[in-house]
Amino acid sequence: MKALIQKDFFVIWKQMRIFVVIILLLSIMNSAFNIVFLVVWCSMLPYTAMAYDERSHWNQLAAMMPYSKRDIVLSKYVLGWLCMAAAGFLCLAARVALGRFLESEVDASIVLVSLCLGVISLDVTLPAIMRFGVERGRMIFMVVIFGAALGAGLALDAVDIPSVPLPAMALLPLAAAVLTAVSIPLSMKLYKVN
Amino acid sequence: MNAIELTHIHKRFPGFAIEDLNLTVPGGTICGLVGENGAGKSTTIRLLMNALRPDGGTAKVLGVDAASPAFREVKEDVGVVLDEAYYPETLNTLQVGKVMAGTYKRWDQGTYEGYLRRFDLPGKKPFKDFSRGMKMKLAIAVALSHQPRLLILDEATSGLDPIVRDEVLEIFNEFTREEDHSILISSHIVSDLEKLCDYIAFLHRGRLLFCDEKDRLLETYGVFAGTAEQLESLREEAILGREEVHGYGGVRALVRRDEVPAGLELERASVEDIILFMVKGAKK
Repeated sequence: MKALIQKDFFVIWKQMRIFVVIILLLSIMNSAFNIVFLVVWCSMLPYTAMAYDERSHWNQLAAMMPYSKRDIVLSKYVLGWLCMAAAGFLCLAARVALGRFLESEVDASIVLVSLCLGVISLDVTLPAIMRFGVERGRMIFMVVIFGAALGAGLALDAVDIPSVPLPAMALLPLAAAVLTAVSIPLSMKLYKVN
Repeated sequence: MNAIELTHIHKRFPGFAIEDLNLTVPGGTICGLVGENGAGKSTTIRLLMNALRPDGGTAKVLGVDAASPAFREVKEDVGVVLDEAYYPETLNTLQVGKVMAGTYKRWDQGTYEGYLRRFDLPGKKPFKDFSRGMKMKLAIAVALSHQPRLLILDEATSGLDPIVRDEVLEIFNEFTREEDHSILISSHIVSDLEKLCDYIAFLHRGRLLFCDEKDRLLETYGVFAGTAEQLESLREEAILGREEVHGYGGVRALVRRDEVPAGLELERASVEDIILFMVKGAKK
């Protein structure tokens, strides 16, 4: 599986550099929406890698190599998690760095909420993409990701996160964990060599 | 041990089916899989590598059932070159080497780099800028760099210029000098297969018409060239296919040597002759 993730990183390296620049630029603005948007947006990077796979028919070649279906499917989830974690870390790091010059609050809980939403959006969209491919599944993930980012971002801007009771805060990671546990086996079942 | 064993394989698609396919490639031999476009060569290879599940029958590679969990381990021993190289277009050969080093347990970076030099493939040029010949050379380099015991090659020599093709065929020949190394190669270029193979299997519309030792095929069949009257005098069982020779009023026919009179002069039949006569030479 490590080789598959490495291959995807090589494939999306150019897009990742653009993401880093955008993250740093948007981090200047002190908005929860930006952080949620960036992290959830990074959860789309596996789809970019899958689009390249589809265009080159990589999966036909991968089927001849000693990869299991589990490796192929799981590698896309891990890639998404790594990209989101990197985006979250960069957002935090940028805000800490900017905090020295601007009046800027650093709130790790917003990053945590963003990561949970990113994981959930990946869990919801990836099974369909595994089945229908990126082109046909694109509309599904655009709707889910934009809806999740807009809804949650606006809500987070309106709500004072530290005032939200802890049990309610814990629901989001729990939902992300449960959905991941359902989504991965579903993706393996629906995975189709395009 | 047989390198490949397909037994009573059936696979149906809308408008096409592989029917009762039985194919055995003994270990240490090279088998050429011939057939027209859409005959089922690539489908056969996908069935063999468990990339497609058959509707019926069993596929064994290096003695292991392709449908069994143990088959993943067998894939370490099989180098595959498909009709296209299928690497993501932004990768370069150095990155492909790194990915394959993490993919195959017995990946040999030195061997890979040796092939890159031998094929004159650049290190940092993205795959999308490669010519078709360069792409196929990369696929061949990868297939040969993880110490496989079996090579499965689907149109691996198409798109290569004659000089490189000859070099690649020589590399395949070198590969089978090891006693337990085998090759299944499909190609449209029958002359390549005739040069390389010990066995020839001919697939036509999803059915295997024959799979035999090349030398035996060449001994069994001959080409008769003469007049229609001379041909009519031969036993019907002897004639497998015929064609009119335009402008001369004569005929050419593929015949079984053991079914014609001993003194009858026959031309040597090439594998291409045998296949063409069998496909289009309607027996009259």
